[in-house]
Amino acid sequence: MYPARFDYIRAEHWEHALEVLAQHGVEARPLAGGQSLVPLLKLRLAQPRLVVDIGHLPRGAVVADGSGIRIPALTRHADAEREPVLGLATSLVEDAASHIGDPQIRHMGTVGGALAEADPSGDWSAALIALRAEVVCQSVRGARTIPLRAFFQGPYSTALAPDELIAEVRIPPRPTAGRTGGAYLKVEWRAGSFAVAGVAVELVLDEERRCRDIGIGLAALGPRPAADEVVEALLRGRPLTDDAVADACALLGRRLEPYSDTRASAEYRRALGPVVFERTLRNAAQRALGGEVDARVW
Amino acid sequence: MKAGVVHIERKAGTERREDEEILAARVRYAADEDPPGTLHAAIYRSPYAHARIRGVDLTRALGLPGVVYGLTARTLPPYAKPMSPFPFQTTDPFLQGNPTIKFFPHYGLASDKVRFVGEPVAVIVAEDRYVAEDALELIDAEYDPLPAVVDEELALTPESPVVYEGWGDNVMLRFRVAGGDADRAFAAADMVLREKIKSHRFAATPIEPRAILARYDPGSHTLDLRDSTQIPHVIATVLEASLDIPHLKVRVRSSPVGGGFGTKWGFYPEEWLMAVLAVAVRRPVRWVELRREHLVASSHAREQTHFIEMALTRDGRILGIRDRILANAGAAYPQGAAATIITTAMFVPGAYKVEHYEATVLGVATNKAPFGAHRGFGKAEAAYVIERMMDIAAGALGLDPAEIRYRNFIPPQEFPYVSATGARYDSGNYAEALRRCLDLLEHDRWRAEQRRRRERGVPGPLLGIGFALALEPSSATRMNSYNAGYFSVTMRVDPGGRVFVFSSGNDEGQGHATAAAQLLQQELGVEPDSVVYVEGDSLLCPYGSGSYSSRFSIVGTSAVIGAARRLRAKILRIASYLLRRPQEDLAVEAGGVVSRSTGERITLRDVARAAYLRLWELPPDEDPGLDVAYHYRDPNVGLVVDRNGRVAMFSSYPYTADGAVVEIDPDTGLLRILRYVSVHDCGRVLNEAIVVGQHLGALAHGIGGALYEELPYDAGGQPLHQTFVDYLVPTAREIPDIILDHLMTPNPFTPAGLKGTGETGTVSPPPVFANAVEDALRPLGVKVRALPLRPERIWRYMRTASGQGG
Repeated sequence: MYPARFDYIRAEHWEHALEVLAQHGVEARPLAGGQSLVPLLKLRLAQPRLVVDIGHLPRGAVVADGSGIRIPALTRHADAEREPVLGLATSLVEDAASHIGDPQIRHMGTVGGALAEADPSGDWSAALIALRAEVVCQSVRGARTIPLRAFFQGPYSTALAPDELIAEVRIPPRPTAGRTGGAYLKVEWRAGSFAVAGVAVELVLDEERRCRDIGIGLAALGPRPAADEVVEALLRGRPLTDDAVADACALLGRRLEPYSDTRASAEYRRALGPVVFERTLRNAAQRALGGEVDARVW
Repeated sequence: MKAGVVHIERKAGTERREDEEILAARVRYAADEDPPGTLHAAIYRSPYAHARIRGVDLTRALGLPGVVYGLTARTLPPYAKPMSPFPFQTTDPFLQGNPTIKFFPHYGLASDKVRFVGEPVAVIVAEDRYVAEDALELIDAEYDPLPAVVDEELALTPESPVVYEGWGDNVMLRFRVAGGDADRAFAAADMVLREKIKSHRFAATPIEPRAILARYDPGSHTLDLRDSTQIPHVIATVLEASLDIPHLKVRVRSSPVGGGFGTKWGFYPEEWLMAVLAVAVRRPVRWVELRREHLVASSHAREQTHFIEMALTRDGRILGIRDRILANAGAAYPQGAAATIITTAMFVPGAYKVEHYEATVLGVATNKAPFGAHRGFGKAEAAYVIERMMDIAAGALGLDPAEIRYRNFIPPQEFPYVSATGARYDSGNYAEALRRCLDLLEHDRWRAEQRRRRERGVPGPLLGIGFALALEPSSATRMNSYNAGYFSVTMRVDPGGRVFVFSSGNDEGQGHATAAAQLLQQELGVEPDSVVYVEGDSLLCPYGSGSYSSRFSIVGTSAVIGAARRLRAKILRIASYLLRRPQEDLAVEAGGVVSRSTGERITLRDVARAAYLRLWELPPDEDPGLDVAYHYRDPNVGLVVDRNGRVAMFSSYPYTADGAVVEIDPDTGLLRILRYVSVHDCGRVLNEAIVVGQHLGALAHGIGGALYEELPYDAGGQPLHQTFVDYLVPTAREIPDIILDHLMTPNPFTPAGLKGTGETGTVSPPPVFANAVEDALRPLGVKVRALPLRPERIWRYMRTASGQGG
């Protein structure tokens, strides 16, 4: 596979990259881990005039404090998967990161790159939506913070301006009360392939095992990575009885707007959604109660 | 994946000789060849499945800096003749009109029409591949799109578009084979089953794609092709016949090849094109296939629809079979398609004693990629159909699927067995293989567990058990084709005592050098380090048809043994003279010859020095030199087809009895393999590491075909799986631990008792999993009608059965 001709700038530092993007706008594409852009270049589906390489820049550390967790955009999937700060906060990130692609992809691909790509089947997108994360987007014009739930606008389309880079992902602090548990499950046809359906759940249970709060992120089940706030509202404040779970699953199934592609039909995705949601919800609840779970959908 | 229960002793000195260089990346594959001055070719391929070409204008492309040359069908140089047909040479009266095969003059570039997406239309040569690819985007081609036909049944209807107008219809090949009296058998039947069974299109996907470096030396008229092919001599011959150049000599060097699996058994447009280009530009021209090109435009396989009828007695004995087979041959420059399709018709009866059989097969041209060779070559399709039918028949008669097989297997005492299609099965013990398979599978325990779950209505995973006896006839010989039943070896000992073996084989990873060295240790008493094994060079090596059909272990090893014995006779004659001992007293061992009675010994080097340097030490009537040529003629194949299409086309009949226990998630259709057993018989095992490696690799390949891999097209003829993102080759995680066992019934027709190895494993998993899934869904009354068994397909079966449509 041979890309079309492009110019290449290896950014000297983050601000340099922002300056180049400001100068070239839509004609430039940033290159971080290259796990989406490089195949697109090789298939000639992307033909930017300029590639700005930021993959080698210092990654920074994942930091947790009273304001939550900050994940630098250049964090590799494999780093996130093993990051103790994240592991302590939620199992959801490890579930999601460890099922992306294969080990080589996970050592190259970045969190920021995956979000900016906005693949509807993105594992990170679903996981971070469930966690109500925000992205800090920077340009020479300044920085702004966008909730991920408003960030994805359609397939491969985001609120990111052409001169902006995702600098950081921010996960809000965990609630001080209640027990939390997170889980991500996906159906994939084969190790390393894209999700056919993926559901992320971050759950907070109170002492009576009522759902104090829940975040739901969906992958490959609609035109863009999305939450389901109606289902979240239905469960919030209710005990997680079998009936409540069944109601939530049925509602989620009715509300899906799945698509057909070479991997699966919309009809099948509509059937998978509630099943995967139920299993993810049970895993999250199990974890909230301190139990071990199998991080495979089946 | 790991293998358990391997009942073979590991012998010292059988380690593969090839691996160290491969693993250390010191081996140079065709794509590593890039001498100074090389030009790079990129091929402009049809975006349409079927269209008339109005014009292809290269003006803008040729104007791009760095572009050196370009060709379309209209601008071919005068020496470019049509590609010589392969493997059958022409429609020949020798074939007695059965099969009939249609040919057409094919120039490697489409001229009047394009017939599949990916068909070469033009080629650009440039200083580097990037520029060549850029130039493709500047080609101005105009087409009038035509309706496409992709389905083999629709292609036979009168309304169908015709792929090759000159043929009048889409029938590329017609063949009929009949033995016994099928009409009488059906008249006597208690029950007749009629089924439509389809096997799906997938492909071999070797790690190394195709790659060619062509060079032409006008001084010596030599065209040198470094080509990742399985058949170097044949490519040299067909290229010479396809180029009108006086005094032309073609040399094809293939070795090493990074996997072939049948894909590189063929004469491709790209080989012809690179040869034409190298002569035109007088510089080396290189083309390395892109994975996307490989998936849309090399060759595909397996796609067939069978309309099969089986006549049975009440107690499950097969009286006769009739089959009507439609093979979707794609846009067919008749390559592997014809031979594959004929092969399927020959082997639908499989491992069963079917005395009355009749099959007609049509090779149907469609607007899909050409059908070619693929590990399992036609036999996989046949095995799939018969092994599905055995389960369906068992169900219809209320018999156990193992029991109906035991009642119909060809019994061990009837070997060699001549089938209704004239095939001569060498040896086997099918019932024993299936019994061992079911034992290792713990069949009875799982069957009891299945009964328990069903009787108690246990919710949760659905348990299924499936098995199959897959026959994989090996070492094909076809009348008046480039696949004749022989194998050539020349062998010489040099004055230093080293043994040089020049073989007509071709190694794509099998380990021929290792196997040959082992045989020479047995036959000549030489250490592996003193053996130099050469193949894959049409100039250096004796003529032959390369690698296909698992033939090296059958005819290749036999030729090595034959040559070694011929050489040994001369060694002993010379040694007898040197040692003054009768030949009967001498033995070859440990790099020399020893007298059994006196213990006196001389080295092979002493013998060789007598033959080359010290002729006074030779017997007076002995020729100097120490080399031989040997051509092994396969004794177990026939060369003439009778008027009913019967012929012994294959030499040896390895098989495997495989079984699987699976669980299915009723909510998602996801499938889990709980246990997989393979009991394999490839005759005597010469090298355990090679056999186990080949068989496990083949099983992974077969599991891929059963559960993951497919090459679907939309109705307009667009291929839907063009990269490995969509075409899912299984990874280590998908392949279960395999419980492997070997049964060894020696092949009585080869000196070493070997059969073919390396293909049976691709044949067994599709019927095993189809049977297992059908078994798991039996309470729903579902019939598995299509592969691969991706979860959505299984989910649809369950949904349809539970009346929710779909």
